[in-house]
Amino acid sequence: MSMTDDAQLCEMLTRYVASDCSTEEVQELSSRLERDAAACELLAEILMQGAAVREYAQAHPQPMVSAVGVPQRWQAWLWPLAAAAAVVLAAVNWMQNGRAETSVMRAAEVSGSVRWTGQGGSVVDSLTKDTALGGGTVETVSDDAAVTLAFRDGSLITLMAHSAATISDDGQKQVHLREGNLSADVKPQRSGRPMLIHTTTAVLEVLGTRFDVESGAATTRLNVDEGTVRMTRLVDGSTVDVPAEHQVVASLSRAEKLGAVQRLTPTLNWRSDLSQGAKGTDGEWLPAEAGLPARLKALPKLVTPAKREPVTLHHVSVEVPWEFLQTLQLKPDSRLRLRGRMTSIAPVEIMLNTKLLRGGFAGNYFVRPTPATLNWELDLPITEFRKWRSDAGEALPDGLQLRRVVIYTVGTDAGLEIEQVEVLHPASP
Amino acid sequence: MTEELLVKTLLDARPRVVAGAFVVVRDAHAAEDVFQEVLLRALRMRESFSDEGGVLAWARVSARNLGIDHVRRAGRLGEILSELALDALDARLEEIGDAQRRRVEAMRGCMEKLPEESRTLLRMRYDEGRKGEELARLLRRSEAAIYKALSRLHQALRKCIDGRLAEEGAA
Repeated sequence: MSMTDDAQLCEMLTRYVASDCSTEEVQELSSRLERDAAACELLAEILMQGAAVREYAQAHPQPMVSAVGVPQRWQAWLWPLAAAAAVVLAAVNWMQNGRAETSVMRAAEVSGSVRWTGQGGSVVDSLTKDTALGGGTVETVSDDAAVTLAFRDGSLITLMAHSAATISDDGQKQVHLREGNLSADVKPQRSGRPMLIHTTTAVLEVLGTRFDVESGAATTRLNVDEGTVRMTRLVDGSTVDVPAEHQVVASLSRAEKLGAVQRLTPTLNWRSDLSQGAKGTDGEWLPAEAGLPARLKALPKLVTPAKREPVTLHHVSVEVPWEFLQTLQLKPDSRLRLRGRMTSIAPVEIMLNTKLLRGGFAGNYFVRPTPATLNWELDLPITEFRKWRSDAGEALPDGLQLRRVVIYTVGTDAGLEIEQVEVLHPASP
Repeated sequence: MTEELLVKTLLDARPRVVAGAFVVVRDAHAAEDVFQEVLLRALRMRESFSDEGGVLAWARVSARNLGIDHVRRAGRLGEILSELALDALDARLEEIGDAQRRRVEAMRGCMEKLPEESRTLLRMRYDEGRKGEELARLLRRSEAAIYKALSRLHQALRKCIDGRLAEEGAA
């Protein structure tokens, strides 16, 4: 393709900014930008406009208008309906001018650093328990963060570490899960007004049930504990009703059949494989080199716990892969084995992020050993982990599901690097 | 350089640094994460900076490199612009400087003048982060039509912004 006019160039730059260009198109754009100042100016303009749209959207919040989750026969009516809804919303806004935001839920449980962005763009960096909330966006910012939101009808949704969701309830509950993990215990919803959970790859319709959903950039996993959830895969519109004790994975691949399968027996052993890349990890991924294996180097992160001073952590984390249907269960005689290195001796805090086997946040469990040498291997019985960062805390109950292992130093940059994370159980091969 | 001045310098330059990261990672959240990381690294290296110009030059390069690391980890290194193209864009962003803020302000009025449908498309693309294929499916249009519409909106907004700034200049 040759770019002969501004319109064509603008279109290609618009697609580049959306990461929707082929390698050849990116090369063509590169060569054009290298020699054409006007093309650079146009790209700068598109970047500026994108940022300005985000600013505008934050200053003029609206419920997300999308046809996702709406049966296809309704979709042709979306624009007139959206326009009508906009008129109604404008009228309601006008009538409510000056009144406080109406709360539709409250923060029932909060741990770690949880950020709330409400209507009008107001931001609360450390959300506290029992805060009444209107529609808005909640983000579990820190590794140990979790928040449970209770709707007026008693329905509960819980988000845990590194999750973000925009939530509204204007008679129909809608959750846009941008990323991460969400568990829900949903009371029966009105007929025709199911709770809708939107992810990047699927839409879930929920009338009243208990389930757990994990969403990544290209995959959504749904695990239903009670009742039935209807999942619609966005890539092709195919749907599946997922009954209790079943799970399903929706990806961006049309080739994969969308079908629910019965929950599998959990595995008891797992070993990270950092040689395959950085997927599911936090930290700077370093390839194998100079006799060292592939590893994760701790990166600094500023964390602001509620009512406490900000603290810098140097951390890495490794997620137990969830795209596969088998979960990793921790038993009392399980052990966590870690291999790593540091440039100076310092205490290392290790956090296990866990869920109930059937879904739902089960808490974070910690241990704080100090390695004796710079190159070390720690072999830690699971029974040593405690719910809080002291020996007095509650021990890890039998049978929880391990989701993520987080390893960090507090305040000090001790040059922490992690080569391998492993969970072992004596009864398994 | 004092910690206070360092933080102020970088916060003032945030849109510029974030734009430099965004053009590489093309994800608003990831670009903000890059900025946060640049800020933390700058604080750690505070003693090495003697003036604002030095810290800004370092921040721009660091943001780009961190963005490239992010893309490399995702296995998408072949999908970003060449170093020379990024240099050329960087030079252009530098020239624009403070004028960019005036364009953002002018754009608010231009957004208001757009039809609701156009504003929604822009929101879905740039605020909600939806891309061509998803927008096409949601709006029941082809992907090509979506990008054509977005491209036309960018051009219309540019014209509107230029017009508003020209009016302000004349007033």
